[in-house]
Amino acid sequence: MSVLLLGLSHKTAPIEVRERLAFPEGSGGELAGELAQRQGISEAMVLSTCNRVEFLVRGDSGYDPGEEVNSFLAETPRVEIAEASPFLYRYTDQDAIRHLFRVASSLDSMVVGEPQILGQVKEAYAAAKAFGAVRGRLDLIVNNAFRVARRVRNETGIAHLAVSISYVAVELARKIFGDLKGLSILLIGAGEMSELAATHLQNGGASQIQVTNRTHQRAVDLAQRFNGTAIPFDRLLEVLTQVDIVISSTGAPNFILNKKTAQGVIAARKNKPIFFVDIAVPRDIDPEVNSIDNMFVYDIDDLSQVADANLRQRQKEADRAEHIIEEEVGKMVHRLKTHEVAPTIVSLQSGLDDLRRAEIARFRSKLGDLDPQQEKALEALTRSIVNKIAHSPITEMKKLASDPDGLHFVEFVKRAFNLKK
Amino acid sequence: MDESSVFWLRVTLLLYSLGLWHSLVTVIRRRQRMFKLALGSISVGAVLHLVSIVDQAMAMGRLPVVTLHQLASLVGFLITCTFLLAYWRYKHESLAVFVFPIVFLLTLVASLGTPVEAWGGQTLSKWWLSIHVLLILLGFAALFLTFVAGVMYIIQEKELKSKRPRAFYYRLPPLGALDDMAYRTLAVGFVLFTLGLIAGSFWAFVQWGANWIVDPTIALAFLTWAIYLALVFSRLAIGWRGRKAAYFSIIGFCCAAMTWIVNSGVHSFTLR
Repeated sequence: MSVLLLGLSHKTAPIEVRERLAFPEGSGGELAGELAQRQGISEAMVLSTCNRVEFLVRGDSGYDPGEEVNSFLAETPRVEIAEASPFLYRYTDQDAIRHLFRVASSLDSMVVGEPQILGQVKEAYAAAKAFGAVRGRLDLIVNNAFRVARRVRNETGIAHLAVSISYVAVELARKIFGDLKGLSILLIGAGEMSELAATHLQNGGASQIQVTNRTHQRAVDLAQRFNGTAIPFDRLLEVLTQVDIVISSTGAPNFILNKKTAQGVIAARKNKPIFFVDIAVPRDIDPEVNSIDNMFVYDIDDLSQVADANLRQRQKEADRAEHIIEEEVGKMVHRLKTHEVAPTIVSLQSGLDDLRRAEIARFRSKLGDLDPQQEKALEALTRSIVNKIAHSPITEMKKLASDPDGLHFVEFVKRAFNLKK
Repeated sequence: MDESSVFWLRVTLLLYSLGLWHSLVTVIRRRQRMFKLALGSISVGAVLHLVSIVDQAMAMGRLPVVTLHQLASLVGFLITCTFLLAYWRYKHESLAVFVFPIVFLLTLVASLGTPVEAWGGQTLSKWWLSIHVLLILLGFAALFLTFVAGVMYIIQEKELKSKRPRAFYYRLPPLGALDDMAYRTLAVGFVLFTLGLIAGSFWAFVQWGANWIVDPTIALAFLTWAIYLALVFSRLAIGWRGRKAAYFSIIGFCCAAMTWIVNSGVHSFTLR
């Protein structure tokens, strides 16, 4: 198989080194193309992001692709390989596949679970493919990495848990209402974070936005930006009976909604749930309102508390993801091996049979006339010798197909019997 | 029982059944349907109901409250009148969902106080039993889902109110989805349970005659039904939802489960 992954990342190298090794955007495909041209390397892919630079190559049988990559890097003028080499990690075969899977699944990222990395790997793959640098086994491996990344995303919560305050608000709204579609939002006051949360909610499907502010003109301006409606501040209570999500961030020194008023609001709503996101400091909504049925109040500290919990949960989900990766690496390796073992068995058998026929043809004239029975016996004799010779390497190869080191043996058989591919 | 009285009572029952139909459709669709038709039918039914009671009273020479069936008839009639009066005065349509099924069931009980010759066949009886068992089982299955949704709702709501998400927060569905599921299953379960109860009443009546009503397990079954009726009513008319409705449905299911346990072995009185 001889797959090699060589690279450095935020985990091994400081930014000064990473930025020196990083390749200009868009040059990865060309580099991969050049790499794949070199002797001993049949396929290559180059991944270069701000947090990592990695070379994934597959060597021809009998070559150590590592040497080639090293000399390739040494020849690249702007890279001081001597300086970078202490930070380089180097994975082969199974470990290389595992690393690729982990990177694509965002388990190796600075913020575990961040979604960009998969797109970056996909870009690197497309670029390498465009330069014809990925066409065989590597294609299979990288495509599997995409599939594994999707599986990790779908089967674990690693990518879904919000860790920023504004996203936590959206996640909570989903937990309360289910679908965000058709929900209406009320913005009280303005502020960067509340606008961010409103944008996220709007992207999630909450369509109607109403804005109110003590200074009405500000409400009008903000409403325009969100394509919503401005409401006079004195109509606040009336609007509260209709909207589903309230994001509040006024500079008011006291609560603008106390428990008693809130009880009236929920009665007027016929107990329809309402979610208050209180970003203001000092707070706008009396925290006691949270104790009323169907009313949920989260202040800024509550939101960051949920964000912390999500971060811990992400770690747990990452552990589950590692199990998935392990399982998939095993499957991948097995698949690659059977890919290699089966043709070797076939070519071993046909090679030996060719040998047998050639030798019979050479000696047949010396044997003189043979009756049909003797002809048959000669066939059977030679065939049986060849089969006996091939028997034990074939059984060994089949057996070792599931063993990590099995491929060395396959390689050995290929060489011992002088089989080409 | 006086024959013409029984006749009028059965016509009344037929008219009241439109009211029941209205309630069931409303519960399923969550919006009042065919209310005017049901109201008209109930009004006419009430007049005939009165005729039936007066008939019976004249035949007996006193107020007909001797048997449980007669009492049911009278109570049913009074509830209908009260409802009609209240409606005429306050126009509260939502009460109908609650009242119509009760009136229907009471009148059903009343009309099943006199043997009907034609119903005595064994095959017919078997049919009633099969339908009864099937409907009740399906009803229980649906109500069990209501119960499960209720439990999940309470746990998820605790998580959200506590603001300290733990494992359940991540694993359980959103509150909105749970509440919706609770209502849907409750509505379907209630309809099936009601029809199952009617089929069961018929079967018991065919099998055991007028005496069927005094069995304690029957009373418990009616009690369970009443609890679920209250559940439906609390959601539709009072507008309970979320935590209160969830707790209520859990209690309701426990009562239903009790009926189930007591009634296992298909009713004690089959063994009599």
